[in-house]
Parts: sequence; C-alpha cells; structure tokens
Amino acid sequence: MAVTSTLAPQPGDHLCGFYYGDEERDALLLPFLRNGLQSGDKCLAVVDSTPVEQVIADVTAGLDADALLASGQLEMYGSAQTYLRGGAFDPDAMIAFWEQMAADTSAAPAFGFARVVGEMSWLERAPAPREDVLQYETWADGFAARFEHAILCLYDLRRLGSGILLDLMRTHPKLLLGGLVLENPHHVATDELAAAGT
Amino acid sequence: MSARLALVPSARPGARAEPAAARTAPSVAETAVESLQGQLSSVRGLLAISLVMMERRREQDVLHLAATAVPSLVPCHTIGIHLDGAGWESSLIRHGDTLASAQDALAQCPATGGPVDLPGEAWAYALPLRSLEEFIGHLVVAGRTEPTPAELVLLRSLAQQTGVAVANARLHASKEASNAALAETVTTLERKTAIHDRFTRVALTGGGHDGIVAALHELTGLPAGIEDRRGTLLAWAGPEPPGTDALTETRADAVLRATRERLVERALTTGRPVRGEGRLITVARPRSDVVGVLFLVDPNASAGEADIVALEHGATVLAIELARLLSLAETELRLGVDVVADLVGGTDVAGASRRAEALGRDLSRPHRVVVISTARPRPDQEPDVLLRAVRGAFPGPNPPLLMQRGETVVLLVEVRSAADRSFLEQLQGGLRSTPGGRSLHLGVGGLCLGPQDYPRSHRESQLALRIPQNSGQREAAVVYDDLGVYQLLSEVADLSGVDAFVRRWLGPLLDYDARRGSSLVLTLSHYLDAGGRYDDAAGTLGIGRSTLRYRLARIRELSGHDLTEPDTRFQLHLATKAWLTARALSGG
Repeated sequence: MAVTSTLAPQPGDHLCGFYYGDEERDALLLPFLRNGLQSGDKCLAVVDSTPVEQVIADVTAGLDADALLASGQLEMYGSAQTYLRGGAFDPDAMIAFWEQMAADTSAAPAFGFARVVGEMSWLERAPAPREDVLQYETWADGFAARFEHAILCLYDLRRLGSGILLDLMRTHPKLLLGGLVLENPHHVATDELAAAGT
Repeated sequence: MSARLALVPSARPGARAEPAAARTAPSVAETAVESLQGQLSSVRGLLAISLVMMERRREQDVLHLAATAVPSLVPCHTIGIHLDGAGWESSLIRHGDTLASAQDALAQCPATGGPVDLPGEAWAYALPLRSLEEFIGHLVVAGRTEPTPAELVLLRSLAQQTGVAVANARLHASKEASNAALAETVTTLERKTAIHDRFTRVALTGGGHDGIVAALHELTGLPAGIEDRRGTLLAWAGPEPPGTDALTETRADAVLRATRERLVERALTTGRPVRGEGRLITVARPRSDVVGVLFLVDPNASAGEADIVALEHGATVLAIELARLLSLAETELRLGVDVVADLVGGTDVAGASRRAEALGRDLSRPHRVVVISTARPRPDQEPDVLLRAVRGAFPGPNPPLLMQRGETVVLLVEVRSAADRSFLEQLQGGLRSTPGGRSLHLGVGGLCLGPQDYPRSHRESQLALRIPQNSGQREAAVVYDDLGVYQLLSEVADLSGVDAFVRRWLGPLLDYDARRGSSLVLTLSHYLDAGGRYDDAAGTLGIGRSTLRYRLARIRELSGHDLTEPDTRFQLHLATKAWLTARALSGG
C-alpha cells in the first residue's frame, strides 16, 4: 500500500477505500491525513475502530499535535459523535453535520484545501437500511464537487462483507485499490442514480 | 462469514425494490426490461466483486469476499467453502451441523459440482472452484427455492472468478515464500562467505591461535577459546577470561575432567560440534596424536546454525595451524638434535651456536644439560616413548633443544642462575602429566655459561644420572652440584689411587659379589647411607629385615670389619661412594 503515500487528491475527489482489517486501514488513512497536514491542508476525519486519541497520535507522530488541533487544521471525531449521534444512523443529520462543517470552513478559509475521511466500520454493529447508506453516499458524491475538498470513504470488507460492494461502486467515482487510485467504471452519476430510483 | 451484512436490505437482491402499492400489472416488455435491468445490475455487482477479489493477496480474503457476495447476487446464502485437501475454510464456519451434513453430501458430488442434499435446505448446490492448474474446492450455497438459470450462471461465474482469484493469491503466497526462502538462503550464504573470508584472512596472515579465537568471538559474539587435549587454555577471546587458578582447580576435579574427556571423545567420534559444560566444542586433529579443542562459551545454548558454521570453519583453520606448528616443531627437532649432538660432543661448537641462534635459542644465557632415562624400561616399550614424554612436558613455545641418545634423552634447559632449581620442578611436573613420564631418572649437569661448557655439563649430567641408578634407586632427580663427595671423587684426575682405596676396604666383598652375583657392597652402601638403621636400609633395598641381618653378617665375616667402630664405618662409607663414582664414571 506504499503507493498511497504518493496519493495527491484533487478537489472534488470522492474516493472509496476497501480494506481488510485495521492494519490495511492505517496504510490508507495515515498517509492520506499526514501528507495533508504536511502540505498545509485541513484534515477532518471520523474514525471508528480505533480510539480518536490513538489515531491522532499515529497521524501526528513527529509533528506538533497540540498546535495542529488548536489551529483547527486537524479535526478528528468518533462515530458516536457523528454517524451514530442519535443512537442510530440518520443520513439527514449526518448530511447536515457535513454541510455545516463545510459552511464554517468556507466562511473562514484558513486552509486552501480540505481532506475529509469517513470510516464506516460502525455499520457492522449498527446496521443501517440500504437506502439510507445509498442516500448518504449519493449526496456525498455531489457534496465533494461543491467545495475545495476531497473525500475518502473507508469500508472494512472483513467487517462488512462484499454484499455492499455494488452500491459503493455506483456511488464512488474513484476507488483506492492496491495502493492505487483507479477510475471506477461502475460509477453512476448522481442524477442517473436518482432517475433509476434505487 | 456474512453474519455481519452491513446493510439492512430493503428488497431481494437481484430485483430492485419498488413499493407494491405502486405496482400495476406490467406489460411483457416492461417485465423483460425489468428483468434485464436486474440481471445487468447483478453482473455489474459480480464484476465489482471480481475487481476487489483480484486485488487481494490473502486466500482467506478472497474466500470471504465470495462467501459474503452470494446473497447480494442471488436469493441464496452460503453454506461454506470446502477446500480440496484442507476441508472447510475455518474463517467462514457458521453452522457446524450443517457443514457436517454438507461434508457427507460433497463426498457424493463430482469435482465439477452439482446439486447436493442438505437437511433443512430446499435447494443446495456445490459450485466448483478451480483454476487452470488445479481443483481448489467447492463453494456450497443453498436457498429456499431453486434459482433461475440466469442466477445459476451468476453463481457459476462467481465461483469461476473466485477460483482464479484464489489461484492468484496462492501464486502470490508461493512467490512470497520463494522470495523469503531465497532471501534467507542469500543471507545464509553471505554469512557463510563472511565467515569463510574472515578465517581465510586469519590463515593467510598467520594469525595463529589468538587470531582464530578473535575471529570466532567477533563472528559469534560469544567468548571463544582453544585448549589442548588436557584442558590447558592456549588462547582466549572474550570479555571475561577464565582465571588460571579457577581453571587449574576445575581441571583438577576428576569428575569434570572425565566429563570433558567424554565430550572431546564425542566430538572426535561425530566430527561435529557438541554441547556440554556450558560450552559448544569441536576438535581439530591434523594427526592422531595431535588434538586441539576449540570452543564457544554458550551457557544459554544461544548459538545458532551460523555460529556452528563459524566454529567448524575455526576448527578447520585450527587444524591447519596445528599441522603447521607440528611441521615446524619436527623441523626444529631435527635441527635441534644436530645442535645438541655437536654441543655436548664438542664437535662443532661454533656452528652449533649459530644454528641454535637461528632456532631462537641464546646459548649465551645460563643453561644446564639434563639427561633423562627410564628407570626400568619395559621390553615392549616403543623406542620414542621417552622422547614424546619429554616433548609433551613442554607444551608452550620454544621448548628446549633435545635429542635422543640410546635409552636416554639429552636436553639443554635454560636456567636463571646457578642457584635456580625451579626448572627441575617444572620439568618433573610436566613429565608426570604425560603418558610415560613417570619412574624416570634425571641427571642434571653443571652450569653452562658458554658453548664450550656443554661437553663438561653433559658428562656431569651422566654421572648425576648413573649414581642413583647404580645405587638401586627407583626414581631420582640429581643435580651434579649437589653430589657432594661424589662430585669430589669424580673430579680426581688419577683414579688408580681411588681404586686402590676401594680394593683395600671392599676387596673381599667385591670379589664375593663378582663370584656369586650377590650385592653385598650395595647392601653395605645403603646400610651406611641409612646411618645403620635396619628398617630404613631394608626399605630402600626392598628386602626383608632378616635378609638384611644375614647379609650384614656375611659382610662382617668376609671383610673382617667391625661395623660398629666409627672410623671403620667412615672408611667403608667413603669406599662405597668411591666405588659408585668409579662405576658411574666408567659408564657401568
């Protein structure tokens, strides 16, 4: 997965990273955020399978974590504060969370570019209706294009199985596979997806 | 497996959800389109799964993807994946009872797959997993109803893709294993090459014993040493060299010595390093009678294969070194024999001095000539047993020059001064520690301060050797300087007066001994040496007290002398010593 360290996300990117286990997740997550911090990008992540403090420590190893958090360049949340804030996944609430976050960032543009990460492992213990996840990811596809940021969605196939793959492929234009960013031939544009009614 | 389906499906996979109330009777065309859309969706799902499968390097991940994909493609669930030769994939096992039934059903199923009967399942099917090279196993699925032909094609396609992905993962694992094995082989070879190079340098630069143990310590990180066959430490490299005292005490312990000897024997027999006494030892034996023990101090048995290889290489270089030293010693011995012969014979003193100097011996330093002989040589004794014993008594570098002459060995021993007797203790101790080094007579000549003194010192050493021999002593070491009256008598230029004195006092006894083969003169000598004490005299003569009384009675009778009269005793005592000196001087 070393190639991810050379990953240079572009504004509007909506990437889907599939992995097996936390070790592979770290190989995707840590370079994505760390390179962003070192490039002066804002980094905002929601993590689930590892405590927030641990991820912060891993991402900022050798850097001034306190300064990065104080300046707002690094923001890290757990799924209990975000995806599962109401006890179960509410796509509308989560969409509102991200929209507010984007509005705040745009209002005070201290950073030119933002890297946003969402780890979806919480789906294992709090399964959500397929339509809700589809709605959320479809919205995210359009959301990515509206701001100066790139979104990386992380799905642990060991926890979630492969049944979710098709829906994710339809809603993510790019895939992060084998350390490489691949154009996704299965991606369906948001309006097409809406027209199909799925 | 997919007990953890992340999403709560809103409709049957393969057919997109649509509220029932909104449905009106679809036309045939609409039904066909809907069916095609469903199939297309499933095919795309299969392609998506294939894409991810091909990226996985672990076989288990591929199998997990396949097993969890089934419900998203067709209205079926996965029972398990049975691998040829390995059984059910353990990471996917959910219902042991079902798998036990499936196991029996699979036994009746061909490798190409087909329907299987499973209790509680309306329909079950074994899908073959295979690659170009091998049959991998079966993906066993089940459902409440039999899937449509199109859905079965999807399942077969999934199984086919899974087989290819598994083969791909296995190929990758095999390549990884090959690379790891190759890397290990390369590392081992590099290590062996480094060991070989290091010891080759030692051999080429003549590093000797010290170079060998230094290299071994450097390569293994463990203390290393070389001992001779008896356990004497010859070289050491490591942080804590064993103290000489401790070593002596340890070696003095009979049990430890026997244990060590057994270890050395085992190493000699097996030809491989052996463990014992907290050491890893091996032996170098360039000749049957030359053994060097090379060892690593390894109380925790931490030495690995590479360390053993280093030890074996070290033993090879040690064998070469021992052979070199042996050859050198033999050359030195040959040259030394000539030097000793010329010096003690007085034939080429100047030339011998130069040759001795070439051999690293400085004859300008004080020396003494020492003659050694076996007290009672056995008839079956090998001719050079004494020579080997004397050589073995000097294990260190620069042993004394020596030569064998008849049944004696002559050697030139360097001393610190005329009063120095420490060499004698060292020599006797060294001799006693060698096979064949016991029951010896040593005669030590006077001091040599220059090459011209060696012939005299040699004569003196022979006298010092013979006097105790002639007086019947079993084992003795006599220095000429300590001979006392013998020394005085031996330096008399004209021995005719001495002979007349001996005849006057001992004549009848000598004649009687000559006629009868008795030893009355020797008996008298011991009796007088013992100060007239019967028990002491009988003890040194090795006879009974009554025999001694009988012999003394014969002596009184034949000689007519009163042995209780002091002056007579003195004259007789002097006469016996003169007789012994004369015998020694005449070579008798």
